[in-house]
Amino acid sequence: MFDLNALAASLPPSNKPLRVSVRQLHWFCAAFEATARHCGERMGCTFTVDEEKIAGIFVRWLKSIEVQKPGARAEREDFFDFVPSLVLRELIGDLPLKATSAPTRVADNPPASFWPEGYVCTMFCLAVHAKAMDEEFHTRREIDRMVDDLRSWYSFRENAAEDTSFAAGFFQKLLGHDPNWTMPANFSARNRAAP
Amino acid sequence: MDPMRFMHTEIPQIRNAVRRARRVLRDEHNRLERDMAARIPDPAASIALHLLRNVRVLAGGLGGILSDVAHKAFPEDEERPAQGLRPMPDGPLRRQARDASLMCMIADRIGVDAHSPRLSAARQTLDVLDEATGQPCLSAEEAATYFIRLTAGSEDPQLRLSVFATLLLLVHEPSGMVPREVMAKRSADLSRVLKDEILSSRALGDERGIARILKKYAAHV
Repeated sequence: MFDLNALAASLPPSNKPLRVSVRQLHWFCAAFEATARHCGERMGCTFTVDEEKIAGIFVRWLKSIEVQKPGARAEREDFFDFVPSLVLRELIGDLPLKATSAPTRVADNPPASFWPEGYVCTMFCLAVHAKAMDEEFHTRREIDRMVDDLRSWYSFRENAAEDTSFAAGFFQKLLGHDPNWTMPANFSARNRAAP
Repeated sequence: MDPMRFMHTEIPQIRNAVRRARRVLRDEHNRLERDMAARIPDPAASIALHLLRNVRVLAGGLGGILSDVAHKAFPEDEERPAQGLRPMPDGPLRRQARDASLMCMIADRIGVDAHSPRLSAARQTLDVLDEATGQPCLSAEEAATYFIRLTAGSEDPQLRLSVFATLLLLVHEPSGMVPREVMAKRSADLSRVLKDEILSSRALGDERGIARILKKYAAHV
C-alpha cells in the first residue's frame, strides 16, 4: 500500500484539530480530493470527484456519528478508532469518484489495479484515521498485511456490493480488529461475538 | 456644528474608506493564517497560529471601538440611509459586484438565476447582512426569522434553499483560512442534502425547527 505518512501529509492544512475539521464539509471535501490526487499520481491515473455525492456522504456520516456516539469518556479512543469505518461504509455505498482512465503504474499494487476507486476511498479513511489518532492519543496502528492481498479486496468488493456495512468490517480488520460481522457498522455491538 | 459630526455628503466616502480598510486587514490576516498553516511545519505552525488568533481577538475588540466611534460620528445615518447617495450605474462593475456576493455564488451553485427579480429582495437584504461588521453576524434564531420572512413571497424550493444556504454562512463562524467561494459552494451543497428537512420545516412555518437546523449545521459547513 502507499506510504501512510505521505498520505496523511497530503491532507489539507487546518487551523483546527483534525477531529473538528473533518466534521466540516469544506475540509472533508478538500481532503478527499487531495487524497484522490495523491493516489492518482502514484497510480498513473486521474480521478474525477463528485462533490454533490461527497456532501450526501458527509451528512449521512455525521448523522451516524450522532446516533452512535458513546456517552462514556472511557470509550472515546475506541470510538475515534471506529468512526472512519463509518465513513468508508458511506463512501463505498455511493462511490463519489471515478477513474478517468485505467491506472498505468499499479503493476506492484494489485488491489489498486483491481479496484482503483475503492482503494482510494480506503486510503482516505486510513490517512484521516492515522492523523486523528496521532493528534488525539499519540498512537499509531499497524495496518494488517491483508491490505496488499488481492483476495481480501475481491471479497471486500463482492460483499460490499450486497451490504455496504461490510466496508466497515473490512476497515476494522485492516486496523487489526476482529469485527462483529453480524453488525460491523454498529459501535456498541463491536465486541459482541458473532453467533 | 459639532466638530465630531461629518457633513452628510462626506459620510459615504468616509464609510467606504473605513470599509475598504477593514476588508484589507481581514483579507491580509486570512492570507497570513493560510500561509502559516501551509508553509510552517508543526509545532511552530501551531504556536504561530495561536498567536495570530490572539491578534484576531484584539482586532475584533478594536473593531468594536471603531464601531462605537462610527455611531457617534454618523448619528442620523440609519434614518437616512440613501440620502445623498446616487445608485451605482448599471454596467459591468455593478454586475461584477453582484456576482461576487455570497447570495449570487450560492444561487449559482443551486441553479437559480441570482439576478432574477423574484430573488431581488432577498438578495439585497442578505448582501447588507453579509457586509455587516464581525462574523458570525446572526444568531441561528435571527437567521431563522430572516429565512421565514425572505421566503414568504415564493414557494420555489431552489430559491428557498439559496436563501437558507446564505443564512447558514452568516451564522457560521469563519475559519479565516477558506475562501468565500469555497464556503459558498459547501453551504449550497449542504443545504441541498438537507433539502427535505429545510423545506418541510419552512412549509410548516416552523421557525424553531429552522433555527435548530441552522444551529446544528453551521459548524459543519
